[in-house]
Amino acid sequence: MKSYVQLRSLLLVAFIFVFSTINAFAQQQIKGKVTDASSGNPLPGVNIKVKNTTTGTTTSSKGKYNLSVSSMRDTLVFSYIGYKTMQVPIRGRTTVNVALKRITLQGQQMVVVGYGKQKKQDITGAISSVSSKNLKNTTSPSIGGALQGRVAGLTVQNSGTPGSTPLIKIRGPATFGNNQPLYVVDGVPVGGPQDFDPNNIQSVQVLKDASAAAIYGTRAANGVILITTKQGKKGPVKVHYSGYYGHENIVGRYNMMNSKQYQQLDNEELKNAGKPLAPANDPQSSYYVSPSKINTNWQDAAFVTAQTQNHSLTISGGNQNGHFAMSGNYYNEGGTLKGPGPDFTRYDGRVNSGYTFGKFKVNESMYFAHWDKINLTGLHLTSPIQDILHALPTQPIYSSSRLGGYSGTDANIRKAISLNVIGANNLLQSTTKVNRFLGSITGQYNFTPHLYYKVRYSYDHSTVLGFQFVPTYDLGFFYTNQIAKLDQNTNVYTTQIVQNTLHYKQDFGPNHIKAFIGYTQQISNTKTIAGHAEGYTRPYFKVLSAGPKNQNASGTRSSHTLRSFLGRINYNYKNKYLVHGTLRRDGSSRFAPSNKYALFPSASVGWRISNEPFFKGVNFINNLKLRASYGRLGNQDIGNYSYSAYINTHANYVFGNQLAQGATQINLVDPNIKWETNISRDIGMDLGLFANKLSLSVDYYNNEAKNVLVGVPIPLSTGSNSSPTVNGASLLNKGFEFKLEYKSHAGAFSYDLTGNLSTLHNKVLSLGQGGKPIYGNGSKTAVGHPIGELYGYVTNGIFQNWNQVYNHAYQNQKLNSNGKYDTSARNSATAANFTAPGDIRFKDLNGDGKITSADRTYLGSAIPKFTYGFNAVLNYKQWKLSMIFQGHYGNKIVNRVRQTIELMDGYGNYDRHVYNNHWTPSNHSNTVPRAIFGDPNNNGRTSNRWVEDGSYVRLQNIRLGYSIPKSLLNRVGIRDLNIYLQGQNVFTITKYSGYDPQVSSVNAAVAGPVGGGQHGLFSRGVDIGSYPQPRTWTIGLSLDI
Amino acid sequence: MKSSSYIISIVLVLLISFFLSSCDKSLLNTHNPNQPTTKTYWKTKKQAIKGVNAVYGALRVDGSYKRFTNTVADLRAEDTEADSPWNVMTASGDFKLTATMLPVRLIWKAYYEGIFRANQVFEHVPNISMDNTLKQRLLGETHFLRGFFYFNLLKFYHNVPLVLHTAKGPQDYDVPQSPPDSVWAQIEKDFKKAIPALPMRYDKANKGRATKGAAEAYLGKAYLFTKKWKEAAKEFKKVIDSGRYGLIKNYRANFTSKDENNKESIFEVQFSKTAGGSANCWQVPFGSGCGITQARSITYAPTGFGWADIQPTHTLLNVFKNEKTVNGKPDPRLRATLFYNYPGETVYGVPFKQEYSGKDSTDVFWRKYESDTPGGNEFDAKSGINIRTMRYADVLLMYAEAENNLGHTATAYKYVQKVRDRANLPDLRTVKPALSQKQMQAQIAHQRFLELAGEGHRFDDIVRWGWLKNPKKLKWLQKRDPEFNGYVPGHEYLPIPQSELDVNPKLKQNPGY
Repeated sequence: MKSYVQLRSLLLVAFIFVFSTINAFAQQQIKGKVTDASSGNPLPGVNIKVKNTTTGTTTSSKGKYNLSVSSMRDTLVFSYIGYKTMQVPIRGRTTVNVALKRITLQGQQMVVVGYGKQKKQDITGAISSVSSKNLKNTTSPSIGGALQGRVAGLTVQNSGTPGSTPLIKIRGPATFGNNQPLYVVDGVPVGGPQDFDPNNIQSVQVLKDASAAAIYGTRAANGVILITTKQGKKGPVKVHYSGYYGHENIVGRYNMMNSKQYQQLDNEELKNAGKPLAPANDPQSSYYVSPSKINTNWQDAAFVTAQTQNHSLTISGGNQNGHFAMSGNYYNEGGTLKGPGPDFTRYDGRVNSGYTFGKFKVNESMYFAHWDKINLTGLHLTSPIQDILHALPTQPIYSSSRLGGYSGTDANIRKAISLNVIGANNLLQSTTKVNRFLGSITGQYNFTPHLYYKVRYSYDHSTVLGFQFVPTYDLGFFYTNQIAKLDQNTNVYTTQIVQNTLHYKQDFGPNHIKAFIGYTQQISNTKTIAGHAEGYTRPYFKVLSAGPKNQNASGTRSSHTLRSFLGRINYNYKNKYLVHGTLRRDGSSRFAPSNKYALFPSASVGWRISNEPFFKGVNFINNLKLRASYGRLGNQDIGNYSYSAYINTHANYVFGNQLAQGATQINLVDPNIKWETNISRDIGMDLGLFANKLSLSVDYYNNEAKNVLVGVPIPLSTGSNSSPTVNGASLLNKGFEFKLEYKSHAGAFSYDLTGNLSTLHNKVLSLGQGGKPIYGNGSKTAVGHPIGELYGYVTNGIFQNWNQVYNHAYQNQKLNSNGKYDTSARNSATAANFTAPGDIRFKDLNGDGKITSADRTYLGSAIPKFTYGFNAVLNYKQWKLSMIFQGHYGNKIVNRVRQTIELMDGYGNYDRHVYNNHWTPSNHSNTVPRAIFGDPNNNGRTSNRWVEDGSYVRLQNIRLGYSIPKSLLNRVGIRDLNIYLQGQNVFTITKYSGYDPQVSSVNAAVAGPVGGGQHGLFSRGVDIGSYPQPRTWTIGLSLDI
Repeated sequence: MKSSSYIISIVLVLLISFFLSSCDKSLLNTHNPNQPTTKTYWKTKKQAIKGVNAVYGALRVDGSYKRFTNTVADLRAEDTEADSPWNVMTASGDFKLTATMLPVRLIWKAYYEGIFRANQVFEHVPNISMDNTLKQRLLGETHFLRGFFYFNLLKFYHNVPLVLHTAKGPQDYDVPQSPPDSVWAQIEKDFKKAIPALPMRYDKANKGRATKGAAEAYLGKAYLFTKKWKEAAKEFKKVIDSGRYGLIKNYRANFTSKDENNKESIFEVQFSKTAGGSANCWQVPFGSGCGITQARSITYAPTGFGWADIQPTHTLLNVFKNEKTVNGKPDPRLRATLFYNYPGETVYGVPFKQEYSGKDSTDVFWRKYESDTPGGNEFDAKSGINIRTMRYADVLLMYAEAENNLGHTATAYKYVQKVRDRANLPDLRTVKPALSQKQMQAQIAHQRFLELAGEGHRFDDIVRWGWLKNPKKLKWLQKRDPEFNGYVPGHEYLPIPQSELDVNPKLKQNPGY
């Protein structure tokens, strides 16, 4: 066992260790006491092991221990969290007392950085670390959930749809396109992290400034998230299991009208507009639906309790020459909507191992994941959430007379177009299956102790299989399908990366030098194949070949390549003066030949004042570092081949009833597009007080994105079907970040409190051709304003009488043929179909006597003034309580869901609040307008009426854990056993009236591809009915053998 | 020994790394394998034909004749009304379309896309070396289409930018509106260029392309809209005298897929249920799987067989009912045009009374352009029925109108009667002899109302006859269709799309919005 062994035999031995019983021989007794070196207090629960054996014990509450050893020449290993592990040879003694020293974390900790590691004390860039110790305090199915609230300057937008990609932004939106940071897993840049099991994570580093991130020049403009997975460690084989089971619920509810109220309001709307009533709501009609017979509460019917569970098993171990870790994981999250979907299941496995042959080291890492996703199915492009709310209470859920068995509305009788979401979700079938393999192999050769060479090859392969079957069904008016269709598609994404780096490190007296140079290249390919067939008859054979009609196929290919030269140098003098520089030259296939290459330099400096001789006397400050950085980051995240103009070959027509192929240019392009660059500046300070009991980090950042690639909208009169991508904007993001941590203990009680807060000031500095603004869905992005600032009309109460109507600027008052207000018509049915008493009065901001689009104004920023998080970890003996709060402050949201359910202009169902409070001749409301079919005054236009305060604070996670005393466990061979109860998204304090103030601008109905969903950046403050996040309660356990 | 293993190791490692990262110069030069670039295109005859086909392609999208050009044009007139849960439909009917509504944007988009494609043809096709006759024909077709697109833009928006070249860069993006007169001049110019280049007819495989007759009829129509009566009459007469066209016996066959491109058809937008893919492609109509079908049929189809967003007014039904044939029977065009409750009426094979029993059985629905196949319906939203934009009957009536305006009422009698004869209506010279010029104009208007009901012409007529500016006439229209109560001066034209105003600062919103 002393000499090296093959990996395989190591694994074999590992299993033998686990499953064989431990032999006992003739034993000697050793006793002793373990104390804290500085205070002399006894330390309870210290782990003691006989070196190279599995024999061990822990100290009692008084710090004492008894242990049997087989030889008095053995060595004891004392380990305790937060303390330095000590190895003490017995040397024939029977009493071995030990004083353990606290680890001063600062100074010892190694931090993973791009292409290497660095001592934390030497870091001069803005890097936030989250260790496995922190991650272990909560359980989250995704990396986004794991990071939420923990890192200053990092925001996470989650949709409540299982398996959806969390949108993570670092230090604000730096570009108009994809704002997701670059993820690097064990040194390999990968696409989105959504299929990555957080159980495998050892640590996460968030690189926020150019100094830290510029080494990834290419895609670093949005920041970089480095993920290090768990590796086996020297020592006996360890088996770790963790698992949980829980329930999820959507807790919020809008208070919608019941059947009786619905009919009353709908009839009132139609009467006001002089229109006939819908027969189902007309007591005089033979089709009248009595509200006492049907009164469906669609929210209660549609939202169900979902289950979630996770199981993961890890086996790891190693010796002097090699190490390994293997893990398998199963995760399932059910959807909170009635029906088969949404639902997400992930199976994944990982093997990491490494081996050393003298000067040669080899590491490999293999990750395999399979996900099985049942998608949320929607119809007609609206959000299912809006459809649930809008559905008629007078409509039952089921109907045996309709094809498919679900009810629908009837055009003649109910008149409403109202989607039965439960029916659609059950009838339509949409699944996505993904198989992903990510493997890398790394070779390292140490030429000398100072110089080594590393080569890494990685292969990332994802196959995404989409399946969509639409049966024939009848869900009523507008929602019928008479031709069963099947769509199947296969998308294959591969990325190969080769990284060559040469590393050098040497100390010359007080001069410490560390440097590397490298060359990398990357080839990414995408292949898509799609098939379609229709005309299926029951019983359905849901394969393409079984579709008798319109079978057709399509497919595309595309590739993207990158070539990079990079290097970094770190120099430090006497551990006081730190200098750091990086340089990267990137070439991308995405740009025209003349613009392919760009240079991304960065530099940073640090000064550890606390290491200066003059600081020796200041005892309460144990660490003080100032740092500053400057650099350029790049972004090339646009589609492939966007610099060329193309001929669309499907602009077809028909002649003589035969297809006539048409081909033409349909989009204008800019052939001169080039790299986006983000100039990043950061000044920071790290402070540690009272032996690092209290630590504080402060950063000021100021980032300017230039030549931002943006599809600047151009007039439709050019005939272009899309906006050409141009280097058309520059953006400023600046702000402060604070992180404050206080940890201490009092007897058996210890606690760790961490707070973070970051401010963001986002401003568009220039935009497009001539600074023309970009309009979003109720928002406007303009020079001098933040991205996606909310934009619309300003309301000014409600017209209470005709005089007010006629004394106000022109909205839609009835005019006579002279263009003057037709005051003679007041109170007539005709006049009611124009602006009338009960309608909203909009402010004539430009004073031209007319309410036009020129009267819109800014209604608040969608970007929070600051975001914050607060973590508390409290330990008492075997108990541990951890909490994460996180929140936003100072942002506004356009609540488009409320806009839909408060309109009172059509046949749908509306909010009870407007039913109770709307304007009528006898109820002169000044906030809720009259109910009238067709909304002639356009009361529903985007205005401050729908803008709400988006500030919130949320208890994101709370967990109470209990670890079974070691003294009980050791007898049965268990090292560690924890059980816990956890709540996620437990409560939210907010004024926002929607389901979830953490609005995700990703349309819930749109399934995103691997590597990121759609980004509604220009409309990020608009709640279009994103699927709300559920509240989750789980119980779980973790077990180490 | 030690140093040699050292060297071997170095060599090995370097070899591996070179093997894995070949310094291939062409690594970054990727080429799109999916579609040709504009640089390599426009070189052959075939490409010229495809380029022109693509210009026609603009006729079959959502903003043009697939849906909204039909719905918006029809709803604004008094032969149709909207009782739809979709506000876009009701707003089209009662003049409340706002600048942000879908049809306003899509109609604009459709025709400017067509103009962009036409301009590409003008810039590239002349340089292609190919058979000159074909080249001239293709350019002629493109002139016809560009004229046609501007004609529709002018009708809908009145104040539009005149874009005659493709944008070469940002400096060309923002084009201001041109005075309507200069757009009319351009339309005339395009049609005039088309006429000599176009043939009278095409072979079977090319049925549906613009003919000389189509260009002449549209030039005549452009003159009619600008009140150039003499020039208009001349063009219409050319079409009539060509002998190429005539009225078909069965009026209904003009609106089904059975008798497409017949001798009455002067220009029709081609759709097919069988050609092309099967996807509906509302939003992005230029993918490989897109079908070339229209959604007019489902939008107008009776309740239970389509969406019934658009229904005929009772005014239309009643005016029709009063129109009797020589034998005192109902005008045969009535039942070809409408579904309504009369003994024996069936809707897609289902007795009307059964389908709409108990309910208000005075309901009226469109039959024109509906398949009315027994047992069928329109719910797949994919109809293959061609939309006839110019029929010979329309030319006859327009010719009568032009001649009447020139004082030739007798000629007007003759040509109006040709249309009446097909419907078996009595001779106007007998039942209404000696009409004044003004009375004849009323007769023409009446005949156009019936003959062309639901074909998108009525509102154009109302505007060009100045009825909206005449309080008496407006009142009359309001009585015939209460949707006219929503009319506001200026709203005879659509607003300029808000998205367009937002990005093009040189544009002005239309008056009244």
